[in-house]
Amino acid sequence: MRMLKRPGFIASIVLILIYLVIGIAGQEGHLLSIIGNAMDTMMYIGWALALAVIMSYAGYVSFGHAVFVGIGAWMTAVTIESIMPSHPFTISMFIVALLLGAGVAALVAYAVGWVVLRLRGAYFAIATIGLDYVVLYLAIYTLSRAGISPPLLFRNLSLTVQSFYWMHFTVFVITLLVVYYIKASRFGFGLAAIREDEEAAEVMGVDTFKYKLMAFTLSALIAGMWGVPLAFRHAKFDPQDVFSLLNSVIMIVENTVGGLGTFLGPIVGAYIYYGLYWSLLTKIAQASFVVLGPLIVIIIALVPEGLVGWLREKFPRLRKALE
Amino acid sequence: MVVTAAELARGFIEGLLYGSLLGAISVGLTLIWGVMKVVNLAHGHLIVLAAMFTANFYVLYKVALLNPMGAIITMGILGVVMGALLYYTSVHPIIGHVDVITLKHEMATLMATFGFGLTLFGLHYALAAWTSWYSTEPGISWSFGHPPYVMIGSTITIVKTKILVGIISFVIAFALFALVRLTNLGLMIQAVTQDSRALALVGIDPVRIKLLTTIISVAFAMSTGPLYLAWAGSVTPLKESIIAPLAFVIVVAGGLGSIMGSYVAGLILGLTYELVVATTQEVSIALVVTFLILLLILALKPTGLFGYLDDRLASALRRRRGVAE
Amino acid sequence: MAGEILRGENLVKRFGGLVAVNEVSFEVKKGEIFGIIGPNGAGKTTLFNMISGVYKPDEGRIIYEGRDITNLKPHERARLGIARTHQVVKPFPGLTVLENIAVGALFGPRYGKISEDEALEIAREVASFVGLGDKIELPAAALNVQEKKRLELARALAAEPRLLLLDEVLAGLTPAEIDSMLGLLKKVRDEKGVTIMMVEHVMHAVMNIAERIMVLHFGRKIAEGPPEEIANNPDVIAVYLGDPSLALKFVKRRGGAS
Ligand SMILES: Nc1ncnc2c1ncn2[C@@H]1O[C@H](COP(=O)(O)OP(=O)(O)OP(=O)(O)O)[C@@H](O)[C@H]1O
Ligand SMILES: [Mg+2]
Repeated sequence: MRMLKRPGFIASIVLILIYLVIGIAGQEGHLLSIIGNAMDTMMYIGWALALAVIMSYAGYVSFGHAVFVGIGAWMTAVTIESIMPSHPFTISMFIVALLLGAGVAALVAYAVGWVVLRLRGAYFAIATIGLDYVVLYLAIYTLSRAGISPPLLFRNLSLTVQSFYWMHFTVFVITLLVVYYIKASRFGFGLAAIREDEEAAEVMGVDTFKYKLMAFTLSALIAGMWGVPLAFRHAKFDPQDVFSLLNSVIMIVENTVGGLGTFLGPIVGAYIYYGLYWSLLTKIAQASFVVLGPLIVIIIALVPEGLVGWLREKFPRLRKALE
Repeated sequence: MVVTAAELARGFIEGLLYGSLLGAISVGLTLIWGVMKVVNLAHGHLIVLAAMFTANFYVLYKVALLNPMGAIITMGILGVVMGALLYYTSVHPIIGHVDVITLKHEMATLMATFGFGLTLFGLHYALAAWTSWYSTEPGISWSFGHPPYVMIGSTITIVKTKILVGIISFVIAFALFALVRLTNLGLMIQAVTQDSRALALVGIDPVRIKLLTTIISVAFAMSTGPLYLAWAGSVTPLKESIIAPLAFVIVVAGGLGSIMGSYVAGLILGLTYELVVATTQEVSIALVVTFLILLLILALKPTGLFGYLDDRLASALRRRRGVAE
Repeated sequence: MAGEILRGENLVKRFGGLVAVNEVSFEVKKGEIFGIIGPNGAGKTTLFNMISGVYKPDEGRIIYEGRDITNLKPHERARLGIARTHQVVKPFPGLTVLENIAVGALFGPRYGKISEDEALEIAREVASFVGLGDKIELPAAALNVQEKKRLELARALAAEPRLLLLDEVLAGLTPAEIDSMLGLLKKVRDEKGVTIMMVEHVMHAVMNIAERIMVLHFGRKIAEGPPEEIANNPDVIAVYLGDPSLALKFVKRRGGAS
């Protein structure tokens, strides 16, 4: 298959190998600090690619996408505290959480998608914000009915940094391969057509509604998976934290900065975001928005196609390489 | 759990007052979104900015913004500056000279105003980090009279501040309605949506009108910041994530572009919220209900419920003044 | 002549109080070129929108290849072999010319039967067929209007449709370009047996290429028949004389023919 020789796939494999090496080398004590950064970047790439499926590929900006990460974290809490309440940690616990987190996120997206995907533009964006809040307050309500005031701290599972790393790595590999396949397949072609002109796409034979629903569901499924390593790593389920609109903001920023409609854009965007975030990190992380905010405004006003899109336009010869 | 009639009655009255505030918070948004098709995601941040500044400067210089009216006017004036800033950074570069606003433009202004709002959000933390006096969690208490509350019957007490907030909110919402529907300036603002080329022909610069619309929207939004502060007693930058979504719910429910429609939708939402709180004693479930209402309205009637209100009211008022239509 | 491919029965479409298409019935035969003319606002595009499924008719039925397709969605009709171009071009601006055309091939009647690579291969051929061979790597947004019209046609052709709906593909072209486009269309019909319905303002062009013509006026069908008959139909002449510019074109064509 030609798909496997294309730059996006090669880039995915290279990324996977790099993070594999970091994971193995990170067993040595003095490299432990890198492990933390590597986990963060994997997660930010994962978030960016999850949203990319619906925002960057299909053109529907979901402003409440944190809801699916939150559902993943919630289901992890359910797995640890309710489904396997006295088990010591095993791989199967991670797998159950992953299936449950991704599955419930996908189900919610599928059900809600029937309604919200009939909306466009700002209406869709606002509906997704509404969804985020419904689930957030439902989570808080559920916890309070169980007599817990958030956050819900998990029992001690005695996990090491390495085990967190391999959880992130697992989800990272799945994300890259699934999203690349979506982008490069006929499905990705159809989504691109929807993004560019939905009516024309429908008339040309793209089952636009089904495709949008599939894209939204898959996008939620991946975001849901990312809630699982997050929850394990922080050993808690804090609704205000995981459902925070700021998480949606990060995903949107990554996609915008990197460039819509490409596979590499969100990945590049994730690194840029993470780099800026770290270099700007003041006493208070939120202060970094003083720089990120104007950055978004400038990009939208001057280079709306994002960094990768801009490179593609500026250097047509790179079009093929920067897919 | 038994809910007493007194609690319900109190929920009802506070709901109307709170709804009035929510309505006032939303009217600026329905103007800029309805007229200019700019989905201003900085709206909530601008209101929070006004509330934060009011609280912080109140603490710093006790006199300057001592009374609510002074704060409302000061923030309205600051809103003029912020509106111009918002227009020239996040709106003009994208739709300044555009006649027909497509979905792509709409999404672009949405993203740009989102970036603008994020900047304001970060500003509070930056100010707090770099100065010694700026607080990201300022509190303030404005209370009036002795006693500072009103008794209704023998058990229901309503704080006077809340009553005042409810009344001033109505005045603000109605003032914007009058400005947009009953003045010549308002007619020009509305014309810009219909046909900006026709405007240009009669010698009115559409860009000027767009700038003005943005300024009016932001000035009215920011003038409600002190009201929110007075109601809640404290504010943090994170409150934006409650204010903005509520404003969006209200604007959609009220019928995009309809000022009094938004106000009425605000009343209903405030009422629903306070009544659910009064019956369940659970804030979280009240918020679940609020946002479920949003999803329902978007699903069933995305064109809103009260879009006709402005037209009806405007023609009724004009008739009373004896102006031929 | 072979049997019918498309039949409209009493089609009605209203927009508020306006009846854009009013009880129009017609029949298109397999392999023919069927012209539709009429003044501005006559309902021609609305009729196409009903055939391609963008609008659902308020009344009436559409029968395609013997099957009632009135309630099918646009993409389902596309898969059955109905392709169209738009009067106001609708390219996918951010995709390259090649990708634009490949969408047509991938999602048309061959949906599921060909791979992306095959679709791109077909797109390459179709691009050179319509004269866009040297533009395939450009984003569609970079094309001029004339090239965008060709792109519309290419996208439709790449689907290998059995019924092709062309909405004013000749408008805005120079006489030389019109000739080359007409040649192209004839080739499509003769070589691939595609049935073509074309809406045109450029009267003499339709008169030259179409076997039969239907005339719409204020949503109603006022005439139908071979070009010579239409050209001499008093009702049609009356309608077109109402519009001086169209009348001029009409007279020119009659003068040229006699
Ligand atoms: N979506 C719509 N909503 C309301 N009215 C419409 C809509 N589409 C078409 N119309 C109206 O229906 C009538 C027929 O329009 P249509 O576009 O079918 O005409 P046409 O014959 O294609 O004209 P033209 O030669 O100008 O392309 C016109 O009066 C038009 O204004
Ligand atoms: Mg037409």
